[in-house]
Amino acid sequence: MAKNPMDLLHGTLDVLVLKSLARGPAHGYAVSRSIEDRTGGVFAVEDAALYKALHRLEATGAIESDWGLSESNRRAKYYQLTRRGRALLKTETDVWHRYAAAVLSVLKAAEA
Amino acid sequence: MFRLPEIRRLFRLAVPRPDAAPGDVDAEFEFHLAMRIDELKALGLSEPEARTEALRRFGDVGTARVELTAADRAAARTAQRSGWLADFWRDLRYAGRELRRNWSFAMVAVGVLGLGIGLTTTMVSLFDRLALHPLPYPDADRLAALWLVTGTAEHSMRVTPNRAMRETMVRMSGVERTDAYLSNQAMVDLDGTPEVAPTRLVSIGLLERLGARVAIGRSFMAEDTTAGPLTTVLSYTAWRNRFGGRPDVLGQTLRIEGRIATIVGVLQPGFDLTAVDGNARADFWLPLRTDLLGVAASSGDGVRSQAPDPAQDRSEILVTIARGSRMSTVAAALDQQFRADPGSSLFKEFHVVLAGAEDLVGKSLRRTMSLMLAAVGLVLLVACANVAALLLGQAAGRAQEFGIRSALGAGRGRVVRQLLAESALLGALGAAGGIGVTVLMLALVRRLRPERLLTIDDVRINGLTLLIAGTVALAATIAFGLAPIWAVARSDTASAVVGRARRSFDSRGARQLRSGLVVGQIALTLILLVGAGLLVKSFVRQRNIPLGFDVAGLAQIAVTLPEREFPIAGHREQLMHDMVERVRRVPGVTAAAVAINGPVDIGVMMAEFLPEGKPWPAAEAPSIFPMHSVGRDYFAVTGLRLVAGSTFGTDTTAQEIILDEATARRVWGTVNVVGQRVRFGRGPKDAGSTIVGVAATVGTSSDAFGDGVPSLYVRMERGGTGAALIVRLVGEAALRAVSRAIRDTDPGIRIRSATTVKDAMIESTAGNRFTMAIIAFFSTLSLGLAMVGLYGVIAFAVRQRHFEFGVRLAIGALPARVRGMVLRDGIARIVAGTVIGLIGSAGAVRLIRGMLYQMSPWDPWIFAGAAALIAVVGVAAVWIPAESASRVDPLVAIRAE
Repeated sequence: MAKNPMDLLHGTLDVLVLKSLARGPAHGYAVSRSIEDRTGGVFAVEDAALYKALHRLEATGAIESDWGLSESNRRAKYYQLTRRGRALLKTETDVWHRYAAAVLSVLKAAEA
Repeated sequence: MFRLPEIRRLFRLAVPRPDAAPGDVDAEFEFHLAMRIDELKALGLSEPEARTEALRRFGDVGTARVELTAADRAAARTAQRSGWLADFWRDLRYAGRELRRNWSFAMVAVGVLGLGIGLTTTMVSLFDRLALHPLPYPDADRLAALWLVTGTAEHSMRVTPNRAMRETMVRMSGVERTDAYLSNQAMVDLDGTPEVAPTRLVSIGLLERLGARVAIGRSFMAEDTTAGPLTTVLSYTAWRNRFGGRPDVLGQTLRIEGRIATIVGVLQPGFDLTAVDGNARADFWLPLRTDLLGVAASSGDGVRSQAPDPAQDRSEILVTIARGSRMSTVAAALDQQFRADPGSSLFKEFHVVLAGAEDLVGKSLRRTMSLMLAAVGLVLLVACANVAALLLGQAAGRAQEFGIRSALGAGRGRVVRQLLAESALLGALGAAGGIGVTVLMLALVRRLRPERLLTIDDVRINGLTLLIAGTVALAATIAFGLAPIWAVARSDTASAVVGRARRSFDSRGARQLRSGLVVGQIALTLILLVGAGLLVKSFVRQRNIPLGFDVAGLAQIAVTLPEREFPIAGHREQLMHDMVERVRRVPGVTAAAVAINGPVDIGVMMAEFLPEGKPWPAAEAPSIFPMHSVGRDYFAVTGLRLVAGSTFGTDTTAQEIILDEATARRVWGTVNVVGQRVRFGRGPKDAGSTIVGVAATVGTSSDAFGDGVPSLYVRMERGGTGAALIVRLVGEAALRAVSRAIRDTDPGIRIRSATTVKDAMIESTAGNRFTMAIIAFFSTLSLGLAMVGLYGVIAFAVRQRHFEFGVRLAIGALPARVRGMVLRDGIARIVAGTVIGLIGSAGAVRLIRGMLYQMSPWDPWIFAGAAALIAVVGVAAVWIPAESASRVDPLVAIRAE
């Protein structure tokens, strides 16, 4: 876990959540772990914020939830991408790619 | 870390959807923290350390909790709405899969339902058009035909007031406008070969009043009524058929009754006056002008005045009453005015009647239509009961599936919704099929329709039809969807899971319901069969009334000698004589005579007569009788027996009359009336006639007269313009030769119709035949449906009891005994249905009492016959499953359990 995690840019968390759910249904804790693992701890997501994101996405219909049993046999709320969520992930990913490319090109130009 | 999706799917059904159950957020957080603490503990932290760290990482639990709970509640409210829709789609997709899996079941259910819905929709379309909105014109509720009527309700006569009366009427308050028209056949010559075509003469403005619009050209205008060049407007059909729909017909000329007429317009399709007067659709429309009245008269029955005289304009009158006026008030005012008119003295026995839609169409038609609607309703009920029983059986087969689902936590609500989705899908498919059936049925009805119900051709599928199909489908869906739902609600989860699922569906309640549906179907079918049986018997009775004359080989040919071509009465008389002589020489013709109309045609002429020196039996007794004008050979040719006296003498100036038996008995109470004298009309002008003979009563029946129409026969007037040749033929092929002989006499003689008397009689009973055919069709269909239902239920019961039968057979029961058990089971239902059906029929036949010809609706033979038919067909339907039950292989059956 990195010492100085970057603050999340607005809207980034949603994409990360969607991306972690792209592999399949998961509960909130698993999403949290997945984001930490994948970003190598660069982003420390506050769990409260994560849950707000999950519920917000559910309200917009990008994900849906259902109660089920976890691997440790506890009752857990599982989230899963809807079709709309998948589409959203794709467009958001594209936007991020373009954004990152733009930022990178600016940075590279500055270095040169 | 991620579980198998398959496992999750099972649990999808386990928890009801509302996402914002209180405590959900807490539970979610708790789980999260517990997982985090486990993780941290695994990294070596102590329990309190791990807890603190987990909470720190979580952030502000309190605020998050409040926010999320509130957000979830709001989301749940919208989700409930959209969720229902999403669920519905999912249910529907699932239902579609289910139906595909069971496609044979689905086909039968959709077919049965489609048939039921289609027939209902057809009948409602017909009812709407023929009974509720018989006049397809704007403001039809203010439109009425004006008649002068005399006589009693059962025995009346009507005439049309003349033009002078019509013109004063327009000025009356309560009358918005009057229009007039005359329908007739006219000689039309397009290209040198004249032919008879239906035409109508209409007053200016009538077409506009009745909402007729022109497709091309123009309608009639005021100048068309002046004696200038004649103009005509084509019907759309005539334009398509006779002019190939060419746009350049405007301005073309043709000859109508020998006069040159210019085509000025073409009407849009569909418009006609058929609904008002039942006459054929007009091909050519003409302005109603004085100089054309002779046209109307000469091509009519030949007894009208031929002079083009405005006073003789006896066109039919249509009155449009003012908005807000009542038909009865206006009729009373018109009647008063009519009595004040000095010209009405000739008609002092008449009163003014405004005949609205109901009178024009006839109450009997409305009654017939209501009856058919009731019959089709019964068929629909049978169809729905059938589908319900099918679904119920189907649900039983899936009991295990439902059991497992509810064991996994799917609420009953969930399963019920699934079942509803399936019936909704069936209902929708049924409705679609129903619309297809409606299209076919309407086409069929159009082909079968009786001549006088020309308006049936206008019946089309419309918004109302679709609405009805939809409503019926919806109602049917709910109705038959409920049956399996009820069974599910009573089913027992545990037994379903441990494999006794089928039995749970074979609970007492479910069995009773299925049984009840079949019993109901049988009962409804029996009611239909009894109704059909009664109508058929009545029809046969009507057909078998002794005619009083010999119909075999008898033909009637109606001819006209137009005054325009044969203006001299002596010439016409000579031609008529020559024509009869020629016809007599045609090979195959054994005898020929003239008359005004055929022996079974009623009401062409009516006459009022009084016995001399004898008071009329009762003031209200009918004194107006159909009158036939006949030549002296008429009785010999038709074989109409003279029960007393003889035919007219050879002295053509003698005032002689022949009565029929019914009239003689009605007035004198005996047939020995030869030599008695009668007078026509109540005025002193008539010199009176002597009765020379009494003829047998012609055994026809009509709505107005019932059994045996009383008739008077007078000597055929000489030199008239119209006649019917009554010809006795050896073979029907000679009819064509007769027509040729008539044309050979003089090409100017027009043949209006040539038919055998038998065919003329069939046409007169066409309405009854139509009703009978439809009811018979419905009852056959219903019988088929009920038997499919009975078979299905018994076959299902046999499948349920395979194990039991297997055991019985294994311990030595004879196959015949097992078969007997099943048969008894089925027969019990047949008997129950039959008993209920007989009781129902006893009440229901009241509805058709008025349509039966001289017979009680409680005809024991018909009731017994219908019950016997049900029994025979029913036992046959039960026999097949019974037979299969007796051949159950014990080993297979027991092992399967």
